[in-house]
Amino acid sequence: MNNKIQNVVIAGGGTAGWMAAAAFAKLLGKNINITLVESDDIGTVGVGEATIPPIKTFHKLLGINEQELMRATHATFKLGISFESWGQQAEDYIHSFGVTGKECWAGEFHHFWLHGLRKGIKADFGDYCYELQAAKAQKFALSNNIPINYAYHLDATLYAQYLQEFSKKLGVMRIEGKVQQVNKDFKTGNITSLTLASGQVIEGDFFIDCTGFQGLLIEQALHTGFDDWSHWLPCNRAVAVQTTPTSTPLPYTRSIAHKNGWQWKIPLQNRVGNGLVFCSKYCTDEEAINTLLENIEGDLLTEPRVIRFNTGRRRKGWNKNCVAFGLSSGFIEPLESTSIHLIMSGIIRLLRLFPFDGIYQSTIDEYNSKLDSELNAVRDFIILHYKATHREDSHFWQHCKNMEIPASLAHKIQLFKDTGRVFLDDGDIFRVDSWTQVMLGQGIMPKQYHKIADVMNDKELENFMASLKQSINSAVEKLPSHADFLQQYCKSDY
Amino acid sequence: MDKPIKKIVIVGGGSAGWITAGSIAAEHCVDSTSAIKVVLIESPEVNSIGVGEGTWPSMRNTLEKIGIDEKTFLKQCDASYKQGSKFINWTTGKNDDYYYHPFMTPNGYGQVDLHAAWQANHAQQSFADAVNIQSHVCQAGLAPKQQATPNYAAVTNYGYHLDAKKFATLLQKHCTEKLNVQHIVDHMEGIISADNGDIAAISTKTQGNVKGDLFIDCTGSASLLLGQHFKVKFNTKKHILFNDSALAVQVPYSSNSAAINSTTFSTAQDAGWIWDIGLQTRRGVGYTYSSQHTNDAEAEKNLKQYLVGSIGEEQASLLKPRKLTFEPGYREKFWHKNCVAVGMSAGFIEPLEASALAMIELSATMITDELPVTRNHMAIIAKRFNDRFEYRWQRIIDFLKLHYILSQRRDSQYWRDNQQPESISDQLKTLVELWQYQPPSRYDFIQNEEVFPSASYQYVLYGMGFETQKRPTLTKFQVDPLAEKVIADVQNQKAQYLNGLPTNRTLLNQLKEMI
Repeated sequence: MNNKIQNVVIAGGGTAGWMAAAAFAKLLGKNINITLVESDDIGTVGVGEATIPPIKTFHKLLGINEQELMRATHATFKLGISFESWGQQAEDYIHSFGVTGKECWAGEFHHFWLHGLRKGIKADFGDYCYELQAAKAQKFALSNNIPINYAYHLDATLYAQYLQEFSKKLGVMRIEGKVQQVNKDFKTGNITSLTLASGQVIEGDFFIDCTGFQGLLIEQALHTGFDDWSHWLPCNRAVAVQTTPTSTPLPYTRSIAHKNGWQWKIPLQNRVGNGLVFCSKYCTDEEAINTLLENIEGDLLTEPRVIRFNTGRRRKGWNKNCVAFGLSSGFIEPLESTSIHLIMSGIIRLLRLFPFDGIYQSTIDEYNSKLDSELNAVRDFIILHYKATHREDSHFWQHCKNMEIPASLAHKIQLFKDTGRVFLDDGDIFRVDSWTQVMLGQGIMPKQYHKIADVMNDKELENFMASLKQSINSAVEKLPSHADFLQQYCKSDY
Repeated sequence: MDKPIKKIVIVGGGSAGWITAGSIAAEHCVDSTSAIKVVLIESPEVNSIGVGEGTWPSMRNTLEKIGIDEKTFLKQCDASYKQGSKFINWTTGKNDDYYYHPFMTPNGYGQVDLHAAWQANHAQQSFADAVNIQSHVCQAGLAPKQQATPNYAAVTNYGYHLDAKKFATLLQKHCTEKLNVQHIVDHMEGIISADNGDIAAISTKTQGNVKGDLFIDCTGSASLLLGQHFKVKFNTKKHILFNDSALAVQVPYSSNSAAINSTTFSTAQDAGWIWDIGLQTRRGVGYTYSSQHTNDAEAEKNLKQYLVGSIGEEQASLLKPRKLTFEPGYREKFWHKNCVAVGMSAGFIEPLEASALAMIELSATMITDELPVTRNHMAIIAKRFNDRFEYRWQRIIDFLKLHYILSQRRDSQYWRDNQQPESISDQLKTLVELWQYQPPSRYDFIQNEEVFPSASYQYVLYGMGFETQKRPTLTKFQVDPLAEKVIADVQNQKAQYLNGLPTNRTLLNQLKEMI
């Protein structure tokens, strides 16, 4: 019997759909035919506008030219996220993409920093991170001598368009139409075809569900199930609005905690994306809109738009002959810009496991188990931001501070408190640096540090710390401003 | 105190009412003085549906028991012989693909594995043609018997195509004249309840209250007693069998020598199927379809197209089809308190395997055979009746659905939707999986009086190209020489049958002249 997978059908355009189309066309185009069905009538959510550094690897894989892409998507560089008023009101820290300090085999840099603190070396942890200091100074450049770790802020709609052009050149067939019905085979339960509103039938061997929250294939047709995470991640709405810039674009995202939620500010070359994420239990849409409007600068380019979501995940990312990417596979939170990353990581996982000669349960199980670890790690990292707060100025923050958290996260926090150590779990996309930056940034101070730091005597430690700081400061000093670099590197026409 | 059951009140005429009345009256000696009393209330204002209908061979037995002469029946009901069904365009929808589901069980069925013998050595013929004579007889347009064959006896097994309205009239006459059934022509006005919630009496417009001990609801889809009075829930099965509408026409024969088909023709369409039933003086043709998958105008076009093939454009354009709608499904229970529903008041499903009259006969038979002696006895019987008929409805629905899921057609949404796992019962899914390894057998359907024997499943499965794996090891069941003998006998006796049997038309014309 022929089980070969030759015809892949992607349902839904948007960021997820076109990322998948582009990757599969580029890398598997010789072996499979790809059809993407999308409807012009269905808007994409497309507020996911911030990325994290692995996106660069994805683009490299596809052979995408960075300058061209950035011009096309009005992109800016992103060195991290500034978390403001999260741990305490009016206390900020930056979670940057860089490495802080220097680590050695037995212990990470933060042990040396903690050692230094006790010895009276009063400096912020962030003082020892190149990317973080560059971000603060609003500077950026690409150089071969000093590597810099970064990601992008980009216009998700333009990004999808860019990938659409890219994919079409590689032979992806785009069909305009609304999926009306998902047809299945009763013996296998597999999806056999999609019927469009026009009556057209798109047959396929393998289906990718990029239909957004509704999960037309993975949920409505295959009834895969959804694990609700709202008891850990209570936010279920966002209001988004775009404004004109009032200053040159920052090389980082701002995430500002308010009484009933948090606000994002994502600078593009030509505009700023703003939003407020909140929980309908503690805040009405109207209140959220008001909070957002009071806290933005510039003129409104769009009307405030409320987006509803449920935090949680589809029980299986791969079910039968269908894989879900993007919102159809679940939604955690925009807080650490993981949405686009999870799409990418799903695509790469599927590429590696692609069932050319037929679908085996072992393959499906492998995909889903890797996805489980990845999602759990992301989930824990996001919950950490809410849990590790000292704020008690609203029911919302009181709830966050006192809520039950997953055992895996509770363990991580406790281990850090007790010993200052962080060990990553399988599937963790965030590095130790990220965990320490957030935990320290939100006031979780370890009782202990690793005694490896004691290998230096006080004088040596002082010199080590000072020289680190010095070399970072002088490197940042030499960088051009982010705005100037954008101007010469990838200025968009808009 | 336990109350004896002495008077049975049937509400509603039509086939359901009169078959039930006839069946009970014939078996319970209504002519004696100590007998049970059977009353049938029929409204002068309500018309029965009465489209041309097909029966199963069980109808011969039913009529004989009621005491109706077969020739009288054939003549008065415009009836003809039916030997099964011919399914056209069901498998691929291309080149008029067809297969037969005949009424006869093959010789040696159950003793030897005819399917294995057919698969190994005779697969160049269709399954039905290889294992039994009847499909050959049907294809040749022949009758199931000769003129000299006695009443109700058969050369090849048969039931009937009949005019349901005329059938009800015949039964009414017989029941009232010969079987002492009291016929009240009056409109039902209301129901009078007893203290225990039972029905005490039916109030009528002009003849007052009709009291009874057992009430039989034969009021059609209105289900006045069971559905409206007792509010017994109706469970729709539209998610399994999508058809909910029909367009029916009466089609005249071109001459009184035109062939009368002795099978029901069922021709698959884009959104349903067309029945074609040959009565003596006309054909009953109709398109039953899913309103979700087509509309009336489109359906009418399809029906006309079908008719043009046999009667030409001009004739076809003159016919005005009558529209019927129905909800496929059945009630949560059929016997509640002292009321039992028979016919459409109990449930209805598209006529793909002509199960409607058969279910009426089965209901009437069980009520007759297990007629409660007292009210306490009735409570036990009601439970038995409900369990058995729930099972029967499930089996009918599964068997009908089988025709749809075996189809290889994917050329319209209707056929694609029929493959959706949600539209198929778990029991049927399991059986279809089982049959990939072994042919249907008596182990699959284990009640006595199963509505469809496993042989019917074999006819449909192998008629529609379903493949059961060949067992790699041999069993006695498979290699028994009887299997080859049965198959050889069909070939050897074919000429004898085809020469000996008159055409369906010839035999029916002769009968008409005789009486």
